[in-house]
Amino acid sequence: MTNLTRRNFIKIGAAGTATVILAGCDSDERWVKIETYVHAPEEDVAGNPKWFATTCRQCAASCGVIARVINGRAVKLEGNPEHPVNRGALCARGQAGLQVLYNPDRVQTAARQNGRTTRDYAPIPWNQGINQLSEALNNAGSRVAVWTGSTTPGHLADLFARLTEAVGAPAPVRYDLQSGFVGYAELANSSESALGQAGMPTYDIGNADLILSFGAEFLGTWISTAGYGREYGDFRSKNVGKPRGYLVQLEPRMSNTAAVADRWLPIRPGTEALVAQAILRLIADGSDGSQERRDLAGQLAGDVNVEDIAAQTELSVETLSTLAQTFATTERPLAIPGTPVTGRDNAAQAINAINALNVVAGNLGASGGIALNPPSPVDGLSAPSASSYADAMDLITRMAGGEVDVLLVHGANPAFDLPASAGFREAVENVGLIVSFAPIVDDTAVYADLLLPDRVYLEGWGYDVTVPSFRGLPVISSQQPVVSPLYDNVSTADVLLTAAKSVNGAAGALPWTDEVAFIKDMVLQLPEAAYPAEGDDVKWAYFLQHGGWWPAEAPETEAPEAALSGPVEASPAAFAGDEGEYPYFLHLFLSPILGDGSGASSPWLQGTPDPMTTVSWQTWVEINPKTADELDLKNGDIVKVTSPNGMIEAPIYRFPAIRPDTIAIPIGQGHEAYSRYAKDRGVNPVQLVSSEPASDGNMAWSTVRVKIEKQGDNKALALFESTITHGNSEEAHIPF
Amino acid sequence: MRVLPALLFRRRTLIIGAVAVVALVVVLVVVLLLSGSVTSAQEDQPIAFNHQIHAQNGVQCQFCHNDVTRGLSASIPSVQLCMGCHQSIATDSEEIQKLTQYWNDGEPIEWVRINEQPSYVHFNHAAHVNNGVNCGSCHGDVATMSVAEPVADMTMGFCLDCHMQQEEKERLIDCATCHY
Repeated sequence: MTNLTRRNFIKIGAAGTATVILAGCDSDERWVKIETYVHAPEEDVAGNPKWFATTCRQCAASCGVIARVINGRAVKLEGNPEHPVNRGALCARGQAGLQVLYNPDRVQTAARQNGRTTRDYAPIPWNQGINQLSEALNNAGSRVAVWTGSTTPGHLADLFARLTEAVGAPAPVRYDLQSGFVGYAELANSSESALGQAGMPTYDIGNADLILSFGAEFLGTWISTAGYGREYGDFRSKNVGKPRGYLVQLEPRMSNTAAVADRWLPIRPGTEALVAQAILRLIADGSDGSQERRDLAGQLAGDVNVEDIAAQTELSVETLSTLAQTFATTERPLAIPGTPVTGRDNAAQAINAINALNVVAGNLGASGGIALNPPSPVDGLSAPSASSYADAMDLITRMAGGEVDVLLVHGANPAFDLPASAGFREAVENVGLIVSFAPIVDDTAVYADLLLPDRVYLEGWGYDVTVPSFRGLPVISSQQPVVSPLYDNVSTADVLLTAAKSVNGAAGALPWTDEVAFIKDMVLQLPEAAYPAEGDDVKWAYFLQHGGWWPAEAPETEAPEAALSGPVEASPAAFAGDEGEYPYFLHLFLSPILGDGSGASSPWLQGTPDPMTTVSWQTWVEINPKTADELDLKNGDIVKVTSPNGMIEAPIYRFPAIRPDTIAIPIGQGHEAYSRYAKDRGVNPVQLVSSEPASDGNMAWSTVRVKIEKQGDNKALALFESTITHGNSEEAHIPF
Repeated sequence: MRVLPALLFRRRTLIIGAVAVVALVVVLVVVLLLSGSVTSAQEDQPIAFNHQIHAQNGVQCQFCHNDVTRGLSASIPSVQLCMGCHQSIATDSEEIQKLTQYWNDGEPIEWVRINEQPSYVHFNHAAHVNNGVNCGSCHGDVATMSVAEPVADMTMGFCLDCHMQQEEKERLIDCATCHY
């Protein structure tokens, strides 16, 4: 090689520069192609964006979203600032709604499966699919069952309910992992004793100044994250004319909510309700707070010994006293029961013990307290109520007993949502025809005979009575197509309306020509909205344009009378599994990113690091470093987690913010289908939970014990860099 | 004093280097100033669309380029719009058969772009057409062209020639009017 002299260096440099400039002058634009529309979207102006208001369906909260649409394509979702539920906020799952629309594994037309679980699908014309459904419904008579989930749109739930009522079948089951895990049915039932009427309560966090949250992950996955997130902003800010709120989170593992709490109390799992009892006792016996509160506490408090409770909960008497004193003296305290409470045995009793605190606080129906959804202004336009786990099990029993000829599944994924021992997969063998309306073949659609994929929410119509609706406003959220449907799919509501035309008894109950006619019929009955609109056409247009209907001011409601009478009883939760054989408590939680697993089909969400651990794309087992050292486990070591009900294998993550006697596993992964991104990724820890309904018909999520065995393999965790590793951060002092 | 590494080069080298840098900057500025519209040859187009025939038959520009008064872009018509006439007009032409094939396949036509501004220029058709600028002022008499060709050299000078003569000259020659 020749020497690189200065002269040569300059020559080469000059030549290089000239080449770059010349290459730059040779315009690439010469080859720019303009791809025309085949069918131009109506009223579309090339390059000009449009915005449409609609409703998010990534969870059950029904947040308002605004979609930015350019050249006929939805390109961005943001929260609708006008919408009373989320007031412009939108969570990661809501943002990722675009990937529900553009998922490459969507079913693109109606199909028939040639043999269940074969995954051999043959496309069929839609009229053939609808005719088959119609004939099957006609032959089945009342032997029809509908299984919906918490994300099934309100208008469709109403149509399903009309159908089952018309043919004399039991009402649709509305149960999925989200509603089951968070305990929608249990919370709604508890309102009966606390507020005198069943219904999902709204917690007015924004106006409270002290929150005792018994494991309610309201900043992560609990009921209405974006809505409660906005409420939390009000709770913390002084500019709404009240002191900055103080948040105490009681749960064995630090969640998103615990991470921002003023005080995180990692209490012994299963003893949450005892804390409520101790506080009642301490307020009754103490001298803090108003006489009224002390009297109420005296009526409701059980005959309990605070020192015993301190020992059982592993909180000091001093801590309990501080909680009681703060609760008694704060102007607007609020107690919230979360999954550790709604997912235990004697759930109703435990929720009552916590609601007794709200009775003492005098916050029922009051600012900063708990209240029911305001009554719907229109008959027949109310939020569908969630089913309990026992209701779901009833349906499985009927299926197994051959009492169901046609099963329609929409918005739920029971083959994934329930432990295998619940027997869903066996029960389907005795069902004549299973129809799945899932847009992507999920774990349940694998068992379906007929796929009639619904349009996804960005290309379909609907409405939703939002639960909870904040600040006492009744809200009917509107859903409209923001883009033309991508594929040859028919909306499930239209399938139902068409099929019902030739079903005996159903035709009269479902007389509408299509879903829009039905939605219009319901919506145009609504009284005056917050925005002025005169005449049906304007009302309808504004209903869509604003993202829904809500009045300018909350209707006046009478303060409910507490039906709770004392003393409230509560005992420590009874855990399944012998302590000697299964030494650890199992703490399951919904992934804040994947939710109940319905987000697992989105690669954006799969790739989003979990906020507490930064793990993505997999299932992990959180374990305290102290316990991990005892078991000689390092990050990524595969362990076998065994409960009396089942077993899973997953890598561990050394997480300092968890009790050493507890292990935590996120729910959301472990699908056997549901797109290329979700299939065969991670494990489903639901298998560790007992399929036997607990005493109140709920699933016993929070009363499971497990053992851990090291398997010898190691799987690298997909972690964000520069966060907690094996380094010093683990030595941070966390008092247990 | 420590000798800086750059000083290890001979003075002459430094001068040559400095001259090279200045030359480079000059060349880049010239390239940027001259860059404007981009041209393309007829054979690149997937269908030999003939503007002349359409114009002679009384089809107005805006019939096909229907976003021109509403949007930034004049827009290229959808296949559907073409087929609105060509279901029945000139169906035995080879070119129309190509078009029909696109329509039957449900495929978009990939036209090759004739005029294009660089990405740092925001040109708005609606602002011009709605203020009385004829299509022909920039695109020439397309009605006489069998194949659309760029007629004007759409550089900044071309734009300014006209902008300088306007009443609202101050605003119209502001850099940020087009470069934002």
